[in-house]
Amino acid sequence: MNSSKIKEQGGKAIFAGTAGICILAVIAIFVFIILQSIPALSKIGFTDFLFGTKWNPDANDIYANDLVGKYGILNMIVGTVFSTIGALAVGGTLGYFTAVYLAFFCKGKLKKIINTMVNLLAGIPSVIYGFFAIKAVMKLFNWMSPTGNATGLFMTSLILGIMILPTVTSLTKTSLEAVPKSYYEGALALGATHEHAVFKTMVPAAKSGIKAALILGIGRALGETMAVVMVAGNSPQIPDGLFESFRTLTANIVLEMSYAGEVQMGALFSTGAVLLVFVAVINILMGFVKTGGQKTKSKKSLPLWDKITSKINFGKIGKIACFVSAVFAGIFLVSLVVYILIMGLPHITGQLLFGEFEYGGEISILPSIVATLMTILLSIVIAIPLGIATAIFLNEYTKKGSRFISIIRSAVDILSGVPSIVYGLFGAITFVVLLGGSYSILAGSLTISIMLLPTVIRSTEESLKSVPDSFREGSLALGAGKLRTIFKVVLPSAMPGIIAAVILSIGRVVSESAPFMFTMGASIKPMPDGYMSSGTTLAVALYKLSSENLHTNEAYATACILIVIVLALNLLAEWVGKKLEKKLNGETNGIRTKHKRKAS
Amino acid sequence: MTVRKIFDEELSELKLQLVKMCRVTEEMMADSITALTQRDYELAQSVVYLDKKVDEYEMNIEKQCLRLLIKQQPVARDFRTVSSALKIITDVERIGDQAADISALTSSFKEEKSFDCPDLIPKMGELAIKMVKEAINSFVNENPFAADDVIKADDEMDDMFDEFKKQTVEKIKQNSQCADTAILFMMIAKYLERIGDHAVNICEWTKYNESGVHVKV
Amino acid sequence: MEYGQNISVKQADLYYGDFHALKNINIEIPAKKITAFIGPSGCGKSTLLKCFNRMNDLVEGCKITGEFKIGEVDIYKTNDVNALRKNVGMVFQKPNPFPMSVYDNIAYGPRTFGIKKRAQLDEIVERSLKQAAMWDELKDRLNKSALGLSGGQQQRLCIARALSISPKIILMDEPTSALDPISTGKIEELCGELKEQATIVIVTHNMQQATRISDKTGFFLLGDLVEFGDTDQIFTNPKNEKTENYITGRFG
Repeated sequence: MNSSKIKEQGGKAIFAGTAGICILAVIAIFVFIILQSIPALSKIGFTDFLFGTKWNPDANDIYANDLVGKYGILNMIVGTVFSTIGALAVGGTLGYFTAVYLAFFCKGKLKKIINTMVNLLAGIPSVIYGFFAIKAVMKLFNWMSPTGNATGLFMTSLILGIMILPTVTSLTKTSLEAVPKSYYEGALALGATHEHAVFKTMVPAAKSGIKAALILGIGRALGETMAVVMVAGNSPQIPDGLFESFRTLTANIVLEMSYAGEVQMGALFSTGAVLLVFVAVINILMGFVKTGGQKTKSKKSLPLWDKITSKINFGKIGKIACFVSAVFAGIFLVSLVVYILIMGLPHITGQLLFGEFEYGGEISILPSIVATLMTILLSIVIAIPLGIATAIFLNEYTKKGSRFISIIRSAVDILSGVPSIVYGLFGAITFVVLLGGSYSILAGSLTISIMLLPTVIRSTEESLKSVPDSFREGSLALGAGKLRTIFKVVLPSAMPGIIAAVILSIGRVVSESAPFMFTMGASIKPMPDGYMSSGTTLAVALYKLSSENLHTNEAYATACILIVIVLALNLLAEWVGKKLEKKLNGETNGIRTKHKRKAS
Repeated sequence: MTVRKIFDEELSELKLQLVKMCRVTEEMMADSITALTQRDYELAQSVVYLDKKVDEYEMNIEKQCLRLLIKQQPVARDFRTVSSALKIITDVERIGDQAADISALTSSFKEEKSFDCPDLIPKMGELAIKMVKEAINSFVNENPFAADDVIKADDEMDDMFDEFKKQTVEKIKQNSQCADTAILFMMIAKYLERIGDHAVNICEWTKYNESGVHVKV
Repeated sequence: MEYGQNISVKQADLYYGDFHALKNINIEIPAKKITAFIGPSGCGKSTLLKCFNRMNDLVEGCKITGEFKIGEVDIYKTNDVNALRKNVGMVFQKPNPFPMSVYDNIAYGPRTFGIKKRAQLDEIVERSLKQAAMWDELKDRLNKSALGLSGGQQQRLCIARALSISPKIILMDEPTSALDPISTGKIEELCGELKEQATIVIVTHNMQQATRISDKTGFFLLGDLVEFGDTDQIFTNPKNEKTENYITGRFG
């Protein structure tokens, strides 16, 4: 009896410990980034840095000497704000209407297809978005630009908008679907039309959820790096037209990190710190929406939005907007996939896949494939157990309203909001330094592991929540302890969610690139000979190939492989989820399934 | 306050029916005594017909009780009320039978020239009617004390019956000619005494209905 | 100290935070009898039931005072809750078979207490299913998922699962409220058989059920045990006017 008690306590301690890692990670990220930026900030001057409009760094600047270069990031802050607003205008609107369409105007097969498409859009790597934008989408718009080149604010807004669409859509849809059906029935019973009931009754009821979705969309747009770098043009100026080149905060880091001098490096970390401030603000906003959403007069918070929706509320216009948005998202996805497949498939050669890599000679992505696999393996091994343990602690051991828990929760929220490039910065000054100062697959894997944590935790927690309490009660009532209950009853029931989390994590590792560039390396190399050697994942390789502009065909081929992997993983996740859910509901064993409904 | 409005209405309807049934038997008793003392043979005949009506009442009330048991599945007081009613109607029906029997005997006096009804018979009849009336009232008004009074009154009835028995024996000893009629009167007295016993039975159910305990007196 | 089959509660109070959910409860539940708890929702009957295997421990802010004895054991003074729950089984309102096979569901309890041998487990599974009168129904489906069973079968499986660890007392929290009349009848019949070996305490909203199956009935109202006595007495001649009003359906 004593030993079982020790086991129980020990288990709890371990779960709490892993949960603590999240807090630690948040603190570490903030502390390290800020520590790194302090010397630069004091040298440049806080106001000069924030409000200076000249960014002209000199790689030879060191802290000991007088500054030669200029380090003002106001233009980039403005650029980030502009592109975020643009993304929200595109992605917020499209995402909102797509969600309404999915929730209320669309049924059966079509709904499933569009749902899957939105999920796939979320899974496509940002490098591919950028690549597709410069190779294809831009050509459609070049005629509109005075310079004949469509890079700039418009293009960035469009691409970012489509990138945040899945976030906005799925969250909005969730909150719309959480509105009780009886509201809808009540509205219809009063003689309202379907459209009227949807826009006047259901949508307002989901308001706080929709706001949260939009804020999360903003967060995503702020932190996006690779796609923006590829289409923004990147000159550090305030754009004064839709097709003017500009630079965002995230792009600033990616562009100059690899050759930055001492002060410049500090300035880049300071840029990261500014991004963290944005993240913090967004988290605080989220907190407001979540807690005070009902009390504050929702009418006043988004007047413009309300005006827009109230104008289209009546008649069929809203419905048409919904349909158009969903179709647009679908067309974008299909054309992206088809274009890349058509352009890439012919160039997938034996040499590219399995050949020997030579500097300056033949390109092979085999080393990248191997590096990707190694990263996947290690990060899954690290992130999944930690994430599951944390989720268990949050869901199984919490006392509601406990301070520790709410701290962990906000830590997880912050972690999921931190831009991937900031993770890259963090990895560069922690893991890379710890591991001897050179890029390595190990450093990259550790970095991405932290990044995966919030996804794994959330997904696991969701599926733990969906395990009915009656299972836990049943087990405890049989005299089983808490640990046994968790491992024998709760976790097996939560398996679909956990497996989905694993697959999504793999997808994330495959599609991310920003966190790897300064931890694992950004130049394409021969075969890695262990976790300590540097390397590039497929996504980073694609970025390199496309930015060097020398190996366009190989770039297409790599993009093609990447997209096939990502799509396959996403579809697999969906399939596994459904399969396991069915099995759990006992539908596959075929005993008296018709009685099942009675029981539930 | 009352949640089971329909059930309550049905219960009071049941009691009302019971009272109505009882009124008929009271009428029968009164008529049978009048028919006897007045030698009104037509009236006596009508009493026999009324007995059919009482049987009808019994059937209907019995049906109503069984339906309530199935439909409302009564418990506690409700259960006791319905089951008491079910038992009481048997006694009331017997009372009706006895009144009819008295009237039937009255008809057999038709041939007799001299007719001398003993004083005690109308007295016993009066008491019997009062006991039955009070017994049913005590049940309907849920008054166990009234029931106790009826049970006490039964002693009086028994005393009168004993007295009547003595008088009859005396009568036959004095004049064996009148033995035939004396025995008929004796039977009538016995019926009246039985009616008193039925009234006591009803009171026992009244007391059960109130206390939950059924005690035979 | 031995867990017995009778439950003795003295001066028990229970608070959920500030809410006084059970008020000075004193009750003696006899061994190997079926005791039914009735009363309107929120009257405390389920709460008291869950005290007997300390499931209230899971509820935050729950404070319990007084003496709860099962046999000789004062259950709130022992630290081994798992041993208590081994002796006091529970069946819940909604059938809650685990998402595993029929066999594993029943073997879950014995395995918890260290029984690993297949032969021994086989025997327990068979015995438990037989006791729950399900062996013939299920002996060919032991490896199928328990979630594929009908609601009534699931609930009886849960009873079999509770029986697997041979509890001395079985607590049932409205075990038939989610079932159809036929399944309900089967479970009621099962209760009658189970009282040969175990004490059964059942919470029910169905008063006919209480009259049909229980030997003793307790009526609860607003946290008070208003009346406790033989079921026959409670349902034909309740002593307390509140009981009368409740069971005759003339409550509030």
